[in-house]
Amino acid sequence: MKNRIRIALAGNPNVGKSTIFNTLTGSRQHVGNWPGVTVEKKSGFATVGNTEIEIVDLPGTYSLTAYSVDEVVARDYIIEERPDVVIHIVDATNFERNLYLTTQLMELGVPLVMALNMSDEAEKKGVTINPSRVKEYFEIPAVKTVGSRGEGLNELLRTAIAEAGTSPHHEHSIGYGNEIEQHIANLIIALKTDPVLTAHYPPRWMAIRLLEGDEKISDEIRSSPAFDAITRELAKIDLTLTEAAMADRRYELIAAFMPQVCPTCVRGMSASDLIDHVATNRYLGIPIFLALMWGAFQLTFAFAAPFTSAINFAMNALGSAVTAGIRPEWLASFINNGIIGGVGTVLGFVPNIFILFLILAILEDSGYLARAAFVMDRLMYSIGLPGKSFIPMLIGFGCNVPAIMATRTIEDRKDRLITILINPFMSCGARLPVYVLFAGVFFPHSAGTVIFFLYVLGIVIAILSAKLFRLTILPGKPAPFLMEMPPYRFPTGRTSLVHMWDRGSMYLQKAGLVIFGIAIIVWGLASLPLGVAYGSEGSYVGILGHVIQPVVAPLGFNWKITVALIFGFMAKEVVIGSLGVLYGVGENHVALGSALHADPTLSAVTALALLVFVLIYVPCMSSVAVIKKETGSWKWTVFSVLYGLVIAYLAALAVVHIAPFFIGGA
Amino acid sequence: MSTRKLVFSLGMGIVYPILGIVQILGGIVPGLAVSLNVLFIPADIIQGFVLCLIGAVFLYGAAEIHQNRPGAEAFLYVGMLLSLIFCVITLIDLGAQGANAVLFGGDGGSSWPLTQVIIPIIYMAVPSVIGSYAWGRKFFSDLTEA
Repeated sequence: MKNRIRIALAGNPNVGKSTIFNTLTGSRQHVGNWPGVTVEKKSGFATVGNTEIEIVDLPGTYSLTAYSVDEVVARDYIIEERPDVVIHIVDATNFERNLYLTTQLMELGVPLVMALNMSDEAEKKGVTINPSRVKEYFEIPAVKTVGSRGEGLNELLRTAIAEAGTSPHHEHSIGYGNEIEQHIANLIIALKTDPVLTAHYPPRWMAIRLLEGDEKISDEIRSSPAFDAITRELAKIDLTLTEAAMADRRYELIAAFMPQVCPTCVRGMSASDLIDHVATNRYLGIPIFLALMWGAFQLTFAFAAPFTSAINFAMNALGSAVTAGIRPEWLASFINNGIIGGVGTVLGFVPNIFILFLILAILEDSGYLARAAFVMDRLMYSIGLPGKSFIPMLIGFGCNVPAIMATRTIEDRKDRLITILINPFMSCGARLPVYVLFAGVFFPHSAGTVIFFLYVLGIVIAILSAKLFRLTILPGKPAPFLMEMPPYRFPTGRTSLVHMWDRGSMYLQKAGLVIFGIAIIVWGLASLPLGVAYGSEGSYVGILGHVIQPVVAPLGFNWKITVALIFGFMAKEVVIGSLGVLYGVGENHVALGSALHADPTLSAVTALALLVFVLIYVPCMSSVAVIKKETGSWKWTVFSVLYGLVIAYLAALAVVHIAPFFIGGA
Repeated sequence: MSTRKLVFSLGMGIVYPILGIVQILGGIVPGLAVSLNVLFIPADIIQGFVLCLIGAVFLYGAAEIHQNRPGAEAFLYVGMLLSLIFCVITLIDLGAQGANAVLFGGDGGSSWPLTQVIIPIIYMAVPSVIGSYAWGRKFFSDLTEA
């Protein structure tokens, strides 16, 4: 039995579309009118092997806005009739001009194949388009054709047949920047309240059309129950400016891709194009990204070291003054161990947090992170994640709370859920103080490397978990990747500093409020019942630690570490604050690092196991609350917590057994 | 095809990975680190990986330049850029360690031994500086003006 597929031919006027249509269909064609309009409709048939192909020649258009009848006919056919594949025929001699339509076709979410027609003429002019690069950058298979001689047409049909049978299919689409993307996300939420609309039109495409002031789509929603919500959202937006900004984004992307896809099409490569040529390279892009991230961490610790030392110096001096000058003794203990020991120790890590955020802001403002997202997308898709997940994962390096909230831009429920579930494995800033302390104490000459490995381990666990979830509990196909390619620019100091402050102050707020409260609780538990030595085994905290410690004994954790990990559930920074209190840093005027180093129950292996455990186990209380809020489900929230705990335990156990071979045993 | 650029890319594309592999081996093979220190090559796995990566960019560029491919020089420029970036990062790292040691007596020692300063990731940036001056002036000025 023959397979049957339907293909639509789309393209600008005068790109050789009709010539290709005639060559493909020969005498097997039918000419009529499109329903309701006097635009000629041509359809015909071709056979390739066992596949019968119905080919429909769409009217030539420069875009898919609703400004002309031809445009309305072409896009309505694609949306309403849903052909198996759309072949976008482009004039290879005028490649760049044709790409605007490509960007709009990509937004319709139909499988696309690009025919690089008139390739012979283009090559005579010295223009060589690289079809494999077209596939790489646009995620659209491309075939060189010469319609007038029938060259490449068999390959074109075979590629179209293959594309029609490819499932799941990865797609790229245009990203319009945070502000417009937020409007798109809000409109999608509103549109999804009307299932009739979303069954008929792709929600993202509709949201984009609404932002571009498409009258036909505006008419369509007039009778929809979503109308009021959509109107409210649109009222907040300057549509003229937004439409212009969206067109700019499309041209920006085309301008960035042109030198990569067709280097001979451009007069000369700018510095931005030259960097993209390497930074988005299939083989070098990801290693370069990883190396730059490592460089970012090295810089962070280099810059922060003197500031951290200064803060610690000041805290120690303050602790000494408190002990010497304040009476009664319990009050001195409270201030020294509770406040200075807890909050003060954490404040010592503020320089690391702020400098890391500053470097990330510089990378973001320079335009490099957009390229990083592009090169990572290939990897993301291979593990079953949408490219959009990259941004929440990246934000997760700062704080998991806004990162989990940032998954709102992911439309697909399963994609979003997977991204939420793996986000806690991204090493947030709160974990950094723990890494800095333990790596600095137990791996003084390779602290940066150890921390880098922890970040990489978090990414690896996230990737493996995503793959596992996609294969088991959340099967499906990831949503298209939204590409953004702003030109490289030198970031302005003010913008980067504002970004740094926005993210860093979030950490400060947590340090100031949450940690203060928890430090007081830890101090109370470590001081009671009355008469026990502070933080001793007889104190409530000691009793609690001893009750739970047997469970984590195989990981080498003593009762103090156990207590710190329990309090770390409130906020990961608290691990340090709690240890500061439990080891009596303030009272004894001994740096926490020295106390840990002097503790005979701790070794480099234990420290590494602890770092791995801290990286993976239960996200902080705030993250758990946000997971509940964003998933709307206790089931997924509890799953997230338990999954993290189990993986953390297993990974730390593996470290305890494997690490001695590499770092010389315990 | 520019023979000078080809030779430069090829040279950097060979020397960088050799030094990188030696640094990686120093980090893996016990006892080798001490011998390497005498040769001013630290035993540092990640830094070795970075050296290999920079070398790979140059080597890729050499192949592209040899085949006269459009945009081939991008690899040469970005190779030099990466070489300079990582040299600066390492210098800042060493400088901060030194400052921390002097001001607060932190880790990093009270002086800078030559074995810490004359290391491949730093001295290999010297040819990149020369290369940037010879061929990359427009590239780097475009970048700074952007």
